[in-house]
Amino acid sequence: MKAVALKRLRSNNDFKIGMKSAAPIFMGYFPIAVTFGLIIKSAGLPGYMAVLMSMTNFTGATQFISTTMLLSKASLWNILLTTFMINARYFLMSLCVANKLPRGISTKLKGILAFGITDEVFVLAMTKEETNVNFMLGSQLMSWLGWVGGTLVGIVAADFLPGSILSSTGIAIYIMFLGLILPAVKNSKEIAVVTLLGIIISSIFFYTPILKNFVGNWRVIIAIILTSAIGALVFPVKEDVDGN
Amino acid sequence: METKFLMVILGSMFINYFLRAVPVICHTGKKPGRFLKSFLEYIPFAAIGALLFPDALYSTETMWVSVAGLIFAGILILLKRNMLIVVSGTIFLVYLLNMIKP
Repeated sequence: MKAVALKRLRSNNDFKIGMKSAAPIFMGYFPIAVTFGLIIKSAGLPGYMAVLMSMTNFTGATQFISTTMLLSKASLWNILLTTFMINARYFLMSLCVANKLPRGISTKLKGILAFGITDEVFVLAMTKEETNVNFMLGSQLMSWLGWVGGTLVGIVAADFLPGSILSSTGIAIYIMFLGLILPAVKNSKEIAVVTLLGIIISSIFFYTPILKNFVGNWRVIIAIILTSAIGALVFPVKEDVDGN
Repeated sequence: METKFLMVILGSMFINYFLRAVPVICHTGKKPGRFLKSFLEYIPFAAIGALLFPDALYSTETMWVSVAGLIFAGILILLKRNMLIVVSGTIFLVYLLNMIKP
C-alpha cells in the first residue's frame, strides 16, 4: 500500500513539474491564440468554432493556414490535404516519442499522450533521456490551456474592438506567418533558402495567368511539394546520433 | 461558409490525431529514410513561404500599406517583441495609414 501511495505521489509531482516546465510554452502560445480568435471573429465566423478548433486540433500554424485557405474559397479536400502535408511531421515526432516511451504503458494513456504532441512539447520532452509520461502530460495540459485560453480571450476581445480597427486585421494572419518563420530563417541558412524558394514558386504560379487559371487554389500545395522536395534533395537534414 | 468551416475543423481533427497517434499506438520501431525526414521537416516553411507571398501584399487596401505593415512587423519580430504587441501594433499602423491615404 505504501509503495502504491509513494508511486502516486511521485507521478503527481512529475505532472506538476511538467506543468511548470511548460510555462514558457504557455506564454508563447497565448498571444498567438489570441490573434487566432481575433482573425476568426473578424472573418465573420462564430467564435465558438475558433475555440472548438483550438480544443480539438491543437496545431499552431495549420489553424491559421486552413483558415486562410477557407477564406480564399479553397475546396475542402484542398484544405484537408494541405493540413495533412503540413502536419505529417507530427508523425515523425510521434515516432521519436514512441521510441523513448518506457515499456508497459496502456493504450489508453498512449492515446491521450499522442493528442498533445506539438513542436514545442516535443522539444521539451526530448531533452529527457527517457520520456516521463506524467511530466509530458503535465506540459501538454499547460500548453493546451495556453492555446485554448488565448483563443477564448481573442474572441471576447474582438467584441470590444471597433469595427474600423477590426477591418484592418486582414494583415494579422500574415504577421503570424512572419512570426513563425522569421526567427527560424534567421537561424538557419537552409530554412531561409527553402522559404525563399516557396515564395518564388508560389509567386510564379500567382503571376503567370495560364498557370494561375490552371492550378487555382492548388497553388499552395504544388508549391509545398516542389519546394520541400528540392529542399530535401539539396539540404538533407543531419542524422541524429541515436538515429532518430 | 460556417458548415464548411465546421467540416474543416472536424476533418483536420481526425487527420491531426491520426498522424500523432499511429506511431505511438502501433509502434513498430521502423525509422523513416533521410529524404522523407528532410521533406517533412521543410514542409511547414515551404507552406508558410508560399502562403505569405504574394498574398500578403494584397492583405490591405493598398500595396504600399501592406509592405509598410510587413516591414514594421518584421522588425518587431526580429527584436523579439511579444506577438501580441507585434500584431496589435501593426494593425494600428495599418489603420492609421489607411486613414491618411490620398
